[in-house]
Amino acid sequence: MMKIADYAKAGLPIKDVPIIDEHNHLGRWGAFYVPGGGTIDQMVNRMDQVGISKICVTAHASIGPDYVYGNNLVMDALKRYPDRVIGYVTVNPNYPEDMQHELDRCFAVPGFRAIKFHPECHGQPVDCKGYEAAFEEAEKRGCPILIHVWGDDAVRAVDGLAPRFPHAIFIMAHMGGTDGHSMEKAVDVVNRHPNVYGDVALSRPTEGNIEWLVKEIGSKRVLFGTDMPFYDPSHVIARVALADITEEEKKDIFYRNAAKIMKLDNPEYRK
Amino acid sequence: MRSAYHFFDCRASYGMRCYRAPGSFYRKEDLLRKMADYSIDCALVYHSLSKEYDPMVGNHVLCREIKDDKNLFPVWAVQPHYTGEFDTPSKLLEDMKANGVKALTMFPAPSSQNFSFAEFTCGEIFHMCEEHQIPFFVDMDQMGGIAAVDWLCAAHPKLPLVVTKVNYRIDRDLYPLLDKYRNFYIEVSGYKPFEGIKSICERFGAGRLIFGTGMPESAGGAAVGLVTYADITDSEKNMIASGNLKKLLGGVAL
Repeated sequence: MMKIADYAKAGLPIKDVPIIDEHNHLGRWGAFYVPGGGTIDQMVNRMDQVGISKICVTAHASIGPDYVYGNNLVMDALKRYPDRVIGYVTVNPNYPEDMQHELDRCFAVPGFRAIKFHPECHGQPVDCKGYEAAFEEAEKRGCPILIHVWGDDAVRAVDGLAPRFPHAIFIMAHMGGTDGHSMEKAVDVVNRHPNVYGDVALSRPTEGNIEWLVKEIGSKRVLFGTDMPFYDPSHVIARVALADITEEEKKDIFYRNAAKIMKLDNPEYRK
Repeated sequence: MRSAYHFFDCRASYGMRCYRAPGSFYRKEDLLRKMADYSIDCALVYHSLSKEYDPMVGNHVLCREIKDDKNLFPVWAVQPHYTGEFDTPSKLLEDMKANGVKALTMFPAPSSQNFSFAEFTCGEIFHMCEEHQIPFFVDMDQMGGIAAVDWLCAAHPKLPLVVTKVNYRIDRDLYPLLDKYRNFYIEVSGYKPFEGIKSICERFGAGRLIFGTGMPESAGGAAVGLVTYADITDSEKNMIASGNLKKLLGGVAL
């Protein structure tokens, strides 16, 4: 039987191990060119090429100006690929008057399982008052909130929010980002709060980053996220597949942790 | 299991640094171990002292330390010679011949060695590289941005330029430059647009991309995956993994 690393070295889709990618977008992005436009068809094709089973999706439009337009794109993707796509309801704290309505509208559609914030794109801090309805919703549902966490201020905000909403699950996208200092602080926050996770979606990770994360916080609260189609999933999948950690730790990161927090009850994910 | 492809890394380094990222290595032995883990056959390397302290010191230490490593090939960092801190281009060329150095790099950014990436400071070095077909590697952030590629390629059309440490947001500027000039290449470790490598191969050919990891400042496994998982032919993957770099190094005439 091939090891997980062997698939990445050969450029073969990773089989035997289901992969749940908890950090994806969809569509075009204003700040740079996304070849082909980043359509759901392209993304599913790319998933098949590298071996990703499911993706959790928030549309670029939603973290940009129009969360309704973006959430509708995700609804369409859910209808077309119900077995491959999980939806994030993306909200914008600058429109708090509509937040509960948007959460209700989207969560009524099968496949939406979590909430997404991008405070930086929406020009507000992570602990902005405008997010309150979404925090309450996540607390009520016990569902994840994927938050763009980039820098010390954002890490500190999650540190304050996690104990206030103990049933919500906070995912720090990019594990604090920016540099090693912010990442060290993010690791500390994960270690102090059982409802905080971090993902490995990084455009310029340093060598040894995955090994260091697993050494510092263990493999149980590190999530696999690629940020596709913001960038290509190939480098993130290979970074985990080729990391100097055990096969079991790779399985935690590739699917077990995401299956647990997204409440996916497929027996395959319990292996 | 070994990789199906033969990787030749064009951008690796080792040595102690002012700032060491959590989990990253600095010893030569760790670089060699990581290369083995990732099935990277050989690498062009520079020493951290050449970037973060003094190129003359770093280049000398590098050659001394890797002389017995058959799969590591030296890249020297260069500076303008006018202050007397660094050798003149003619002396540099002599020393390159004596030490088997076939590639150069430079760290001119204000946060690094702080000189202008311009004709009046570096023109003689660029002319030397053109004349002897010496591959010249430079990080995009050291050049001050991708616009520098335009003037450099226009001023030195025969310079074998490899732009390293690019990012995934450059296509709107990169595509016209790839169309306009034939003498520059992109090192892949930072080039991560969605299906980006496939798109470059379709539009400009696989000959414009060169495998590099940027280790230890960047993750080596990530760079390997960019190539192995690219939706291109095996022949194109092998060009990027090692063929294009070997061709460049084969053209050096010292």
